Amino acid sequence: MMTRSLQLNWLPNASYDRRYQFALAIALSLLCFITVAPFVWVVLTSIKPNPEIYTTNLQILPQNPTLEHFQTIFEKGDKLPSYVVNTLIYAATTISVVVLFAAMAGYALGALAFRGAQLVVNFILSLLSIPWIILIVPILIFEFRIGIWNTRQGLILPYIALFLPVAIWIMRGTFMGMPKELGEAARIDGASEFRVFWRVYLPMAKGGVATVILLTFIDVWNEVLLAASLAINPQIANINTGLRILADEGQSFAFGMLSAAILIAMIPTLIVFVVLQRYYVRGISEGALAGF
Amino acid sequence: MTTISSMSAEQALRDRTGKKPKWDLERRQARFALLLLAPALLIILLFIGYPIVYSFLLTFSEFTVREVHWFTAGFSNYERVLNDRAFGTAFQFTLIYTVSYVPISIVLALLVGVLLQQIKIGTTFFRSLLFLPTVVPVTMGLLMFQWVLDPNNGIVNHLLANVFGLPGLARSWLADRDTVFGTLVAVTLWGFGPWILLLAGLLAIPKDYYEAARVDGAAHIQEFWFITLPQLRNTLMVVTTLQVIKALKIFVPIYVLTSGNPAGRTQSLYYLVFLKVNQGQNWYTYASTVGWVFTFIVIVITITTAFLFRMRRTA
Repeated sequence: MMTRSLQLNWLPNASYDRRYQFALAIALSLLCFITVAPFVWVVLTSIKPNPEIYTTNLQILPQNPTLEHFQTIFEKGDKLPSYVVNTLIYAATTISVVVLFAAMAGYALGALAFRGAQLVVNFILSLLSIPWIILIVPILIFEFRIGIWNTRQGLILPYIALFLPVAIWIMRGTFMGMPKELGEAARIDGASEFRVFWRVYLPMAKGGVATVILLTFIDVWNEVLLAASLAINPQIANINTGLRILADEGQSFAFGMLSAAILIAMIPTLIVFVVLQRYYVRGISEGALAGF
Repeated sequence: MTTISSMSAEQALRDRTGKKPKWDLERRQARFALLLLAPALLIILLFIGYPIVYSFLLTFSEFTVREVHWFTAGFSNYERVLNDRAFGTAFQFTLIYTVSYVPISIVLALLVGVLLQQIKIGTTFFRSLLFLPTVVPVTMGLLMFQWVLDPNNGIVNHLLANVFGLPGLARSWLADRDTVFGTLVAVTLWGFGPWILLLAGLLAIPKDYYEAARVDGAAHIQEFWFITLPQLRNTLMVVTTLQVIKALKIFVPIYVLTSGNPAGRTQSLYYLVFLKVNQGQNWYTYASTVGWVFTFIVIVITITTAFLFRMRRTA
């Protein structure tokens, strides 16, 4: 879409413009190289056999490419797949609850008129800038008392609470942009309030829902602070604390395997990004407000 | 069938304009709204609202062996934190990191943004490659650098020693007192900062402005100076505020790469709280107090920038 509109400005006769474009391309290629180079190094490492990784005579390109590191991860290293599965569980549960609750609350705040709505909106907004660091001690004490510390639900429940405010904010914006007349017409036809929400407005909120899914997924997948304090049992570690454990173990987890692990751990994010890419800019510009 | 539905619509319309039904509708909506809000508000109050109040009160209290002694500490927790050397070091590190990271990240993001705004060939190609760091989960990206910078087998030291012939420069980048700070800044700059947000702002500038300037014979530098920068000012201020807050909260790079070492030189405020929380219950009030001091700093910065922002806009 963007490319096409830019091409309209293309002036074919200006040779100065062509030289300028060439200079831009050179500069961008350099920046792209800096961005991609470390990544390429990891890809190359992941297919090198160990003797080629630990050597004084380092070659950039693998001489005998191998898939042994990937194989080891799936055969012996049962840890990494379990970290990925844990994180997928955290992401899936958090996302489903957050999407449902945020759609409900966002609809109430964006499409329904009731006294006190502005108060709730201000409350939600003020939560967006709270640094999570002040919440950890009380959450720990609270979870000790009710006995869910160091369990999966002990991590999922705070996740739901902490990712909800942004999600509600996004959903509220989505519902606010919808015409009021649709709901009024449905009400005149005798539809219940629930039906108006569920059948009329919610199906139109797909964009907002996709944004919330993408944003919550990225946040859960990148979360470290809570996971490192509330889920310290390696069996329920998420991908971030898990990889840190593996990297600390060092010798048992060599750089070849670490590189392979990094690549494997990237796959879920890559898939989500490819599917939901177009909601990303909206997501970060609205979600950028949120605290961590 | 059409007559029936239109008749009922008319009936309903008459009902709605009447006083009692309208009041009824409002009440029905309010009740439904409350029902919809309840689950979200309940979990938010439980895991955010209650902890905020609790941790604030904790900064004036003592906590021993799973027992809170409310308001027995007065301001002694704050005194203890502000006189603590670990807090001083963490505060200093956080501040210096923010002051170094934010301007560089904004300049780099602006550079990438403007280049992508201006380029007309291979736009998708360049954008996709530069987008890569966003797709890589943060921890993976950092572990990647741990491997790239590895003192023995990493590519950076190999290139320095064997390709550029500078073995003297090869070092243990993340363990060396002199290089660890610069390395942390450089590593967190991978991805060139918030260029996506800036590019969104750049693409929103009307094309006519540039065309008019070109007709007047403006050079690209002049275009940048007199059109792009003034048009982007609001975006830049918002993005700068976001970057400052993000930088103040630096935690994950330290958790993954340095653990606050060498010799506690890279402990940020966030990392300090995390460390103390996991050192046990004796540190709970200390950790809460550091957290709240941090929060006060963030609040002051947010209000100041919001104030500056409003002043600039009215001027």
